[in-house]
Amino acid sequence: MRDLKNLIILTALIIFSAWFAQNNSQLPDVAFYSIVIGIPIFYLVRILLSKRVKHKKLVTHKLNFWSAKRTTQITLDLDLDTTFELLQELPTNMEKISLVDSDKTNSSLLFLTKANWLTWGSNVYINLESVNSGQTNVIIHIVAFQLYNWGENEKILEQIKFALDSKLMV
Amino acid sequence: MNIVIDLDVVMAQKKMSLNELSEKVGISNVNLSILKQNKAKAIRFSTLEAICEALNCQPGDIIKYE
Repeated sequence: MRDLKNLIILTALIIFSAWFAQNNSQLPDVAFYSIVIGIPIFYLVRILLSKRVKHKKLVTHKLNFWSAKRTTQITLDLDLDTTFELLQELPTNMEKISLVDSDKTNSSLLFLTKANWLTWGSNVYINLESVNSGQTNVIIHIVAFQLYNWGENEKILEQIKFALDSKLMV
Repeated sequence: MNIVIDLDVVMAQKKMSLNELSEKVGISNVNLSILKQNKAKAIRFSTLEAICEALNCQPGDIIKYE
């Protein structure tokens, strides 16, 4: 759904850019190219950024005003490796989330939530930190690529907490 | 006094590995590992039944109150 939506929008942007180029050739070069090339490139970069866990710092940074963020921390009574594996199995307990990238050396995972016609879907970045006595801190960043989030992030967070709880019921 | 899971003891007695038990019971290695480490919040009757069947033991051999 998300890929289809991205494809439709990218095609629409290219068509719009081509149409704009045909009808506005008298515009100054800078303005012309920033519209014709800039918009589709910005959109492509946005898609690429959203699917790589290594861009987490850029995307979840507090000064990135282009994304609505929600961050929370949960402590689990499990060691780091078990927690990492448990989180990799999370999509089996949640319908609307899929694992797209995981990095065991940095103990971080990236999930994407499904897009629909009302939302782009969110990125869910999870970082793990080992604490004393075999406990692990699970730091969850939910990032929606829109200026304001209409409560979707909170809903996803509740679903993740519920799914984690369910995973501990064997 | 706590509920203690003695799954590793029974597994050692029956000489069964975690992978083997996981395949027989039909739950993931991670879930079994959580159970073995005594970190599970609850255990389903269906899981308990499957473990007892796979290890040919009684629930009391796996779960203890001490």
